Amino acid sequence: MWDGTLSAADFQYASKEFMKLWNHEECNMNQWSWEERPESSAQGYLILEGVSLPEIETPLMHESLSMETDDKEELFSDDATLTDLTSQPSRCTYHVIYNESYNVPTIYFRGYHSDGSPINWLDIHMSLPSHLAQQMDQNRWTFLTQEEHPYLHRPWFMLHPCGTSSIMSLMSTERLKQKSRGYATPPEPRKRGEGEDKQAVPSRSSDLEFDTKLEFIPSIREAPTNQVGNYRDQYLLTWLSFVGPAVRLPVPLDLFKSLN
Amino acid sequence: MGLTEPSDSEALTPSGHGPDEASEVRSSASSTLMFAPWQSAVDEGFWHRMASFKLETQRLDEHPVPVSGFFAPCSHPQIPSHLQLLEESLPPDPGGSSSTSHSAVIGNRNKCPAPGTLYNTNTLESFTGMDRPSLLKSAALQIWEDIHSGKAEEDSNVLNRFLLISFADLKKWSFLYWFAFPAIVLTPSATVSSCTPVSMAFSEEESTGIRGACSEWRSTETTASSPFFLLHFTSDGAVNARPIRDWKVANEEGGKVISAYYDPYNRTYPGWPLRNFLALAVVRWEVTELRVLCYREKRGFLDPELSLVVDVELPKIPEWKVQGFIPKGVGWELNSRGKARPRIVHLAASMDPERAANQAADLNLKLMRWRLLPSLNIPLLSSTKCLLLGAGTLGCHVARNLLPWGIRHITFVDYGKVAMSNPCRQSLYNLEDCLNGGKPKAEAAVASLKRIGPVEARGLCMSIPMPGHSVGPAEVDSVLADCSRLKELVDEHDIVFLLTDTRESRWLPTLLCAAANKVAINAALGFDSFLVMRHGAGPAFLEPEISNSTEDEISAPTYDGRLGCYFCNDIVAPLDSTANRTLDQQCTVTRPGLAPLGAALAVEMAVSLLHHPRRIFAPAAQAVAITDATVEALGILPHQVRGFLAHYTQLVVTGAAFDKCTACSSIVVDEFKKRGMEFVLEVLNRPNYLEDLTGLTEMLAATQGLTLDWDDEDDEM
Ligand SMILES: [Zn+2]
Repeated sequence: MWDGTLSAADFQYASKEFMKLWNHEECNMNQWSWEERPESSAQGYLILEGVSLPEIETPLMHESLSMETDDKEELFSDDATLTDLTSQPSRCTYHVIYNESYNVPTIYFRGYHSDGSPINWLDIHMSLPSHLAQQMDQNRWTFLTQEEHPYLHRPWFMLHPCGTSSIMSLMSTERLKQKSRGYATPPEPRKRGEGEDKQAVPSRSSDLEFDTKLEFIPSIREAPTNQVGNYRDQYLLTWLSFVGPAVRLPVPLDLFKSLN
Repeated sequence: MGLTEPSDSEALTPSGHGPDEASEVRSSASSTLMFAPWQSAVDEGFWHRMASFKLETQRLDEHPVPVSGFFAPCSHPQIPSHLQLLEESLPPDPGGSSSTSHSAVIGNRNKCPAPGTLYNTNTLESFTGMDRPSLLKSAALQIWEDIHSGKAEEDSNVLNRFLLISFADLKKWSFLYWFAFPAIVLTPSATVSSCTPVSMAFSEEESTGIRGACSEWRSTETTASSPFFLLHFTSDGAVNARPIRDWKVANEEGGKVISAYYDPYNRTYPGWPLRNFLALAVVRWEVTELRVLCYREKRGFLDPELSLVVDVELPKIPEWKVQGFIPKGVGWELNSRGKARPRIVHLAASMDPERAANQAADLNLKLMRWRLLPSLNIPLLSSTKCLLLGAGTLGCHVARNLLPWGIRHITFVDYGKVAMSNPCRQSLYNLEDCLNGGKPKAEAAVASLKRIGPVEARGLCMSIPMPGHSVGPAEVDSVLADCSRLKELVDEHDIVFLLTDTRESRWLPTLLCAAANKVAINAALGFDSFLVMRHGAGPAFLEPEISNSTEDEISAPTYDGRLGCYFCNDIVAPLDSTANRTLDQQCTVTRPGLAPLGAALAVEMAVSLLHHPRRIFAPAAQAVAITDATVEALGILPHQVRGFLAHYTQLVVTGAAFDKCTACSSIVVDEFKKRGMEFVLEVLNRPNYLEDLTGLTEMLAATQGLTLDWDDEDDEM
């Protein structure tokens, strides 16, 4: 059984395939680009910039500086200056980088409020209704943390990659099962000591969450059965359909249709 | 797409996406052409770079520094393109930071460079005191001169010149800044006679030609980062993109010439960069009418719906021909709330190395919690205060093991100095700590711990008063002070680790913990065996009712009586154990692996206890077979663990509290509570006092002197 990982070369290949798919789709999403990094085993990484996040509101910054200026208005505008600018949404940049320890893609992201201040995702995460936050904590693919960007060497938010391969592996297994049985089956319970049942409950509910997601992702039902060569083509799209919602990156479902 | 245009009569044609929305074409004659101000966006990377630039290169120098801004044509109907400052906007790190592999200032199609000038001030006062009117004026003048000299036609980027003033507070990691995008003011203003989407202004054939020409301009390396260009509709029906210096040539060649520029704005007004370009057209080309294409993109190509075609009527401005005329400039940026104030950004969360270390240190714990231990209480761990009595072999290892569990408050108490023989076994010290007589251990341990990770550590160089070490009259005050200090320390902390190298030095802390009902974790080493135990609750304390005492399943049978302390096993009072020993006996000689093992278990036991709902009252779990899984998140919580290295074996042991215990029995605790330090002093000075008090003397007389010390006994094997 495929373990859900990708080699660096596979990642590079999958990225190119993914860009072909996404960037040619007629929709209003921004385009992914490939940042060359010859020093890395995957030779580079994927970048998506300027995604607007209308639902994240800019916090009212305390005016920490009561700097009064007597600057005349004419320094700022004249009668040819449009002053009625509508407020701009927050925006976000995503980097998909190959993780050499886990052999899976990892999503790094960073957002700015309209005033240029960085979005603190941990704060946003904290402010989620508790059941949602809990879900995010317990879902394997949505473990939010802040880590140093491997190429930019500054802290970026990221979803920790330690659950990625198992979810991807599970996906392909599910796909095979469905193909043969024609319906989705719940994933097998985690193999842990019997006595650990109690602790396993939250994890199990996240698996159930996963199960319902299966129903909604067309690739599961519609994509051709996993021929081993095929997983690379769809890897990033399938993976993003899981992690995207957790980082406010909408993945157009239409893309899945074009897979067939 | 839900564009909400200002409803005022000046509103231009919406560049809507449906054909219905786009059908309204503005026709009313000569109204002022309005420009949407440029908006700045500063990447965190710029501030990171600026911080190191300030510290390493610029220092106190306030001279202006050239910076490069970057922008691209608007490519999204909802978001204008900003003028961005990135890490590479500043000159590269002389040290050669690996993260800036792109060489600075070389633009590309998505990073069209704009030349800027940065004035970074050293103080808030000089920031607020900057003469903004004259900065703006001189920047506008420079643009004016570049127009007149023809430089702007050779390098059209100079029309997008900008200013940035800033003050970097590197203590708080906050940056105060203010942009200006200087635009030369035309008086009277330019007016607009028509403004439509490209798709409406041209025939389909022309549109195709324009798209092709723009695409070539945008994809040719030499032209892609030139934001102003011409579109030449030749007489034979072709459309060519040409640099603006070709204005006269192209017009002479015949056909039709329109201007085009990378427009950052997304709505139905032209963006700010057009302003200086119009000034150029007035000055250099002396035209009164100009057709301009505001170039905006979709997926890398001209977006015919988003891009505008504006027919501009330009004024004649006689004063501009006067030698030495100084134009008026406009363009300081308003802050995000539309106020004439600077912007401020706080980046402590990502730039403060201490906070970053904290977060990184917590990461593994969070992973652990998320994957295996959903009940792991990270906030509890990070707020728990640990008192480590002894900063020797055990103390060092215990401290190091507390850190990865997310313990953030550690206090060391030790009287010793780091000796040459220490660093090998005592993992917090190195040879340097031994020089010049050695640093005090408590101090060196704190310094060492802080170098390892985020922790609030404190060290106290003091001795722990011990029974049998009698106190002379001269020392009474200082010994009593030590006693009181120790009592305060016990009261201030949540967990007390007893890690000293003698038995009698554990007596007073044991008593203090019993009297205050503090969790005490005790680790002691023999030569090849160790004991790790938690003391039971104090004798006078009743367990508070647990409100929702859910009868949790547990793995093992338990003993729920009051648990014993280190001294409960003894039937002799602690005495000066060093008095009758030779020198090599005084050194704690143990197998090197023992201390790390014992210390690690002590920490694990403490963490388990913290997670037990009954805490100090938690019953002692008996051993369960290792083939049986445990129910509790962290496994069973035993009372004592005894390890026997020679046998590679550990035992889980339970010992009840002994009613004649010299440290934790109610007789002793009551006496201490009654008489306080006076009682302690008496214990220190009178060898048999404790035994008399507790009735041990009597008992001993009755049973005739068995001396059981735990590491001698092997009956439990
Ligand atoms: Zn006791």
